[in-house]
Amino acid sequence: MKPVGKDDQIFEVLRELPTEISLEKVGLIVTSLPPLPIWKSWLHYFNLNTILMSAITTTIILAGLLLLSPKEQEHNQTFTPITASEETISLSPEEELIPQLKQKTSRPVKQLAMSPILPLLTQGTKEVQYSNSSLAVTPFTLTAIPLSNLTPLPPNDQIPLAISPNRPGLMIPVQQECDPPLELTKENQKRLKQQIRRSLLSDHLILSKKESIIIEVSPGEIIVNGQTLDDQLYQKYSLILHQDVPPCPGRHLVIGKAFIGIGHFTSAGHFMGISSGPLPAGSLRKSLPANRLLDLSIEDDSSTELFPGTDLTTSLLSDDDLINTNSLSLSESQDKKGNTFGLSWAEMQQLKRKLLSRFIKDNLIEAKQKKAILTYTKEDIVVNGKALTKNLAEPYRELLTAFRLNASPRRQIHIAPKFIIIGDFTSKGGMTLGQASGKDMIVNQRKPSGLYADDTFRLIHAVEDWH
Amino acid sequence: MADPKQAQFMKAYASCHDPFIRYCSALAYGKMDTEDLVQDVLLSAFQHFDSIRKSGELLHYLIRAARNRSISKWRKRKFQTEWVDKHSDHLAAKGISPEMRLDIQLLYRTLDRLPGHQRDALVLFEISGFSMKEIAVIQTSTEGAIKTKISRARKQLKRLMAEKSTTRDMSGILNTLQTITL
Repeated sequence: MKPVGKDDQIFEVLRELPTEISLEKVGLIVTSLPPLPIWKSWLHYFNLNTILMSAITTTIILAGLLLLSPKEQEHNQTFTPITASEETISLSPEEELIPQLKQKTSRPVKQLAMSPILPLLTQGTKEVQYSNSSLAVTPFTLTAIPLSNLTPLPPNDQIPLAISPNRPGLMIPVQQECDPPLELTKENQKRLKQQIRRSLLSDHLILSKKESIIIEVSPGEIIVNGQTLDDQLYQKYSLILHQDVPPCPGRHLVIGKAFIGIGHFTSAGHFMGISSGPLPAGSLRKSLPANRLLDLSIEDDSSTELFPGTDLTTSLLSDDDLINTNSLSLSESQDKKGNTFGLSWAEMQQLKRKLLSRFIKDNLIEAKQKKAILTYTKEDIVVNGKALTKNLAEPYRELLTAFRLNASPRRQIHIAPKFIIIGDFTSKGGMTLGQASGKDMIVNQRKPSGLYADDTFRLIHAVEDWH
Repeated sequence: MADPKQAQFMKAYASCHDPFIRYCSALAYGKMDTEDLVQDVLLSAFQHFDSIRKSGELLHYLIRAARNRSISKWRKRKFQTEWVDKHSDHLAAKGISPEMRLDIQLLYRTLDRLPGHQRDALVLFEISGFSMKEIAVIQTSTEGAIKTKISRARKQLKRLMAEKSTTRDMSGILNTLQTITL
């Protein structure tokens, strides 16, 4: 048998001892306990954990909703300012096609509503001009427009419609020039240029006065050098710009050191509009959006106008009298490096060597050190003023075709010991499109005497002196 | 009792009374008023009585609540003379001899030096009279583990009691004598 220790005896005493508090006393304690209110009985379901989890979940859901539906918010804004008055009109079935058209704008339609494009959208009876590079339009529905805000409608038979290129079954309004057309005197253009440049400098949108600027003035949107202005800046610049340059889809201002051009780019990439001052050189490339490089030409007297609605490149090539004309065209044949004819440096040098060899072989030049100008048209090939016979010209055509060069009314190839220039030249020696390779092309920039180009090889002057 | 909830609570509590009060007395000895601890636990149990479905769960709830409250409220308190005196008076009122009261005091002091789970298991087994199985449910452990705990606690208690009896300091003796004479 296990011996009983002292602690066991004590435990036994404690076990046998009557309880310190009797059951009756506990009964009294329980009777005195307050009954729990109903709301308090629910309260124990809520603790810090449930409160925190609920708050976090709610925050996440709200943030998700806000993030996932920003367009809807903008969408809602478009309905707010347009309130129906006592006189309202409703949209006809043709008008429902209008929102399906593509329109180049990303600004909320709230501001569109204030622009002249609103009647076009609401009435569906007037032609709408769209940008060549179009973006998908945010779908919206207009229910009612105050009649007093609308301009008188032209008769329906005056609306030229065309089949949509993307949806053959859909008739869309034919593209039309911006209304009203630009009418700015040279003084006003100069004033506008200075005012814009000062404002952009003060707003740090450009860093120096020498920086070239391209501004897109679309309805409800102003884009400066590829940067869309926020609402505050938009208000400021719309006050500066819209008075002289009404917003129009695709309308651009091109501002160089002493140049300002206002117009728009055509589907072929040509720039049409009015201008003042000498055209800027290759520095414009810095300001252009990616993959949009400018080739340009300049004449000695460049303070003249570009005529709205005229494809200047076409006129440039067909019209012999090219004095007083500027051309600023977007070349679509440029490669990624900006080469107009897509020829690499090696190909240019190769072409130069082959042409010089053939010139010597055909006794067109005496030695390789001599210079040569080859005019390359569909009808003739002329080398240093001497028209080649058909048999003699054929190898040159094959050679140039092999280098992906096509004949053109003004196309010339200038070869000197240290460089080769291929381009379309005007009768005054200016180059509209071109590509050059080599060195010593700049002879004297300040006083043109002889052939020279700027360091971008895009600006060529005074070819006559070279002869 | 007018309130049916109170009547139901007392009906369920009746079977838990003895072991619960003994456990509370052991927890509170020398540290606090047993009645305060009991009242505090009863209030909590009464408020949560709706969620305690089975009557058997009430005892487990009371034991756990008493233990948690004694730990949280009187964690840092050591033995206080006034509470020791009060509990000694209570024992005297029950007819316990002075020598046994001294041994009980020594036992509680020694129990206080044991590890928490061992002390609880030993108190529940020896004083409250719970079985090993019940203690295992209360402490959410296995019966074997409780058996081991109690065995180790006993050995440790015996060793400490032996040390205590030989090295009992004079202040303790004087305190005890003072208590007895008063």
